[in-house]
Amino acid sequence: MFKSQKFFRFKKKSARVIKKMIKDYKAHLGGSIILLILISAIFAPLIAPADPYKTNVTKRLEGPSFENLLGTDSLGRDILSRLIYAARPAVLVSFGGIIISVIIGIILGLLAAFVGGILESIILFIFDVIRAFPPIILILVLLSIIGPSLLSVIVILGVTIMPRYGRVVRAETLSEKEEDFVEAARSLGADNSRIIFKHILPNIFASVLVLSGMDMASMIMWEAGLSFLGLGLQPPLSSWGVMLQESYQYIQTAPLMILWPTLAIMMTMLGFSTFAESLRVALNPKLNQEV
Amino acid sequence: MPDKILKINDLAVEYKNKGKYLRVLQDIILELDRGEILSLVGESGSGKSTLGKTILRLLPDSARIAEGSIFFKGQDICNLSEKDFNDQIRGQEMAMVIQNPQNALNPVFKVGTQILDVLYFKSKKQKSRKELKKEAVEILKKVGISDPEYRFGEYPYQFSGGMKQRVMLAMAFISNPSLLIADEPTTALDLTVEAQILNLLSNLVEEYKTSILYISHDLGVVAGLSDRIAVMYAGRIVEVAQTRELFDHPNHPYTEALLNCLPDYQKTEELQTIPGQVPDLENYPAGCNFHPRCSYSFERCRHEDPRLEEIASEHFSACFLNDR
Amino acid sequence: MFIYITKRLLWVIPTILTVLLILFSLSYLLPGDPADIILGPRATPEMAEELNRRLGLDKPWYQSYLIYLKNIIKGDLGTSIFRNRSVLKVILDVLPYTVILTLAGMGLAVFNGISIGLLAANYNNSYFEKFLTMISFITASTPTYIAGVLLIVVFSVNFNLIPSIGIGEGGFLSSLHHLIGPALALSVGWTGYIARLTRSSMLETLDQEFIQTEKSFGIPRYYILYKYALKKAIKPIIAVIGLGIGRLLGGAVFVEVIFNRPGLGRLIVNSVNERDLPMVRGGVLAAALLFVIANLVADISYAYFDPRIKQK
Repeated sequence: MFKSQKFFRFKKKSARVIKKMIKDYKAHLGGSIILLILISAIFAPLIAPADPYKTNVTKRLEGPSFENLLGTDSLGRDILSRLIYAARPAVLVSFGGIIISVIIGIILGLLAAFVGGILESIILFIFDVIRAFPPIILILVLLSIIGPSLLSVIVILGVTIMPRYGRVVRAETLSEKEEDFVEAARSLGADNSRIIFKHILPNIFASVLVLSGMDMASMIMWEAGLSFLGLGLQPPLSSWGVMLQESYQYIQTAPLMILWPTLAIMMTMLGFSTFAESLRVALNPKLNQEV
Repeated sequence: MPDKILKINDLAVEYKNKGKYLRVLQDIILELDRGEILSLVGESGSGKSTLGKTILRLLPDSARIAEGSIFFKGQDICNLSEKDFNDQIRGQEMAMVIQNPQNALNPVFKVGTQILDVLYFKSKKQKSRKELKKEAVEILKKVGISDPEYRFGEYPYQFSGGMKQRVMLAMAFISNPSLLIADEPTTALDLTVEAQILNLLSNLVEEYKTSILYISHDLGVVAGLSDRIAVMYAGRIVEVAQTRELFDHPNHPYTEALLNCLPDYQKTEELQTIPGQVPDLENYPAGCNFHPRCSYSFERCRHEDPRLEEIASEHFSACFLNDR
Repeated sequence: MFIYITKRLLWVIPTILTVLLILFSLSYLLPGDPADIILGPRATPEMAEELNRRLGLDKPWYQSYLIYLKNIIKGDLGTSIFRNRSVLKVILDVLPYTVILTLAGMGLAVFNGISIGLLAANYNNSYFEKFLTMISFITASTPTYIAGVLLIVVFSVNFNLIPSIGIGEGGFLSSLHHLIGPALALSVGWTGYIARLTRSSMLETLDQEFIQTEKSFGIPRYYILYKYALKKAIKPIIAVIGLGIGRLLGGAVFVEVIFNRPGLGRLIVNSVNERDLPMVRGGVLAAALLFVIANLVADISYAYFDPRIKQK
């Protein structure tokens, strides 16, 4: 009885959330931006008007024209095409990073909550240590160990953000374990995996979803920032951070050029945050702002 | 001419919810004499607290007065500007004590600071806080707080619930108000403390000649305290009478049901309850709000709203049974 | 209060020790021989042997960790490979710039954020509030480097109002002038965050019963807003300031690179690029210490505002 009730509540809640978000213009705005980025990333070769890597020294630093809608960069490459291709690392980093964070976070959080004892203390201590560093410093240290590349950026961002999920999962699991229906389910012989999948995961689903929306934005932000510092993706690879770095060197002579990667990054940030915000409101209007 | 301190005519209050206005109070008619204690009794959700807040203009922005007027000492206070209302009425002529003393005092300020501020604004900023401190300590002593000088510098969490409520009463009586709205001031307290606070309240009323609108859900508590009782149900006043009269001759079926719910030590019958639930705001029934729970209801109750009518001297009731 | 601070100080020790352990293990985690990494490419075998003896790298790791700790307590953070100077001296040279930048950025963020948040709470449900909310939302999602780049493009390149490079040559006014852009860029993200927090915290506080009581006793609106509600509402803001200083320290890395200012952040980035391990270690240690101190200060000031903790 209690199991079906619980599951029914989850289903009903999802339906309500979707209904609410369909009505929310914020969800539309954020959703379309995210969709736009996804489409650019997947279909980049089809959409991009030119080859993003093809240099042309006779056409350096040109302004917008019919041939190159957003102009050309310092090596004469088409900026629009580079912008579109740059959605690929952004999507890879955000989705890859979040998958790593969420999976490791859930596993460690569940372990801490179910096993307890020394293991719990160790896991919590790992979380604390990761959080003891300012994120950028931790990322820089890790990067200095494994060297800059797309994969290392993904893994490092995933690990850096992971404790948030670990803590949410652990806290939620502990409070769920106290609840009567879990006790009851256990007394009826339900094993841990059943409790995890039927009771705990549906319950943390909401908070994890909201958190990951925000974290995906910040991962894209970090990737661009690291590439901007020359520590993330390396040129000639096309990434918004790399483009920012390249155009920053010509800021006095061609200040317009830096606008495009800036816009792309800002739009992405706003897209993800508005979507997460709308999701947060739809899930729980009273949910605390603190994240 | 009887000395009316408060006169409420056909008041209706609405809350805005999802773009729609919902009536929470309807056809409120109420009068209060100088020095009188009138109790407002009803289940939670009946709108009694809302009525108290409406009088003091403490409703949230989403609420508005839709109809009716509130006269205080012959002056229509609905038409006062917010500034005038604050300068002339709140803290000068009226004050309020609320239900939960845990939340009634600001947790991050010393109790003394909060009392001083009330005194300071009551004096229209004429006296310095230093001068006022003596008065404040005096007041604390009066409401029975021992060692007031020391207590003055403590934070609210160091006070027990009963002591906080004493402080609240002290702050309320600082301005010697003509009207005190007491919103279930003893509900959150232990029984013994409750008795002490009620005692204190009666003493203060006697000394200051203050009228009180005492809001409570407990007929037992208000019986010994009040001169008159008004019973509220689902946003309306259903019956008003002198305390004795109401207990001896309840007219409205709801009042009767409430009285039946009071534990009686002489009888050994089982405690009665009222079947059904208070309707929620969005689904008030058509006709009399009480008819779905009323054992006497007949055809007319389903269609028409009963109004308060005088059925005996000083005894008003809103029930169609009286017309039959 | 005293006991609380002591407890809080003691709690810092294991964190710092772990940070040190991680930094220490860096020389083992990086590919290659620890001595070679620490000394850099110009090292001779004799120098490596000398270093191995001095740092105890030939002994078991826990012994050499103890030696590492001892050296740090003595203030010996090693020698920078790239600069050939004492790491401690290099750090102490640039540290003030970062501290000033971070504090200025936080100051701006707190001041602007609280002002915007209070305005929004005061004009709740108006178009003005919607406008302010939008502004805070946009600034809250603006990365520091974007803010920096935009500030330079608009105010340095277009209007030539603020310098885009360096810290100014001598003189207080010149330094201040050079600080405006970086501090503003650093503050942008937290301005929005603090504004949103202030607004929601104020609205939540204004909804509480004691505000109604205070109102019913005739205390004027401005007094309730700016004394009673603000002091209660400011608590969550104090709580995030420590966190914010940590974040801003991270943001300072970008700002220092973009505005070409000396500072801890730029030092760490450059040392990572230069593979200057002693410098990276020292810089990260300094950053972690600053971070821990910021959190400590935040916790203590938070306690100051919450009498319940103060008494304990």
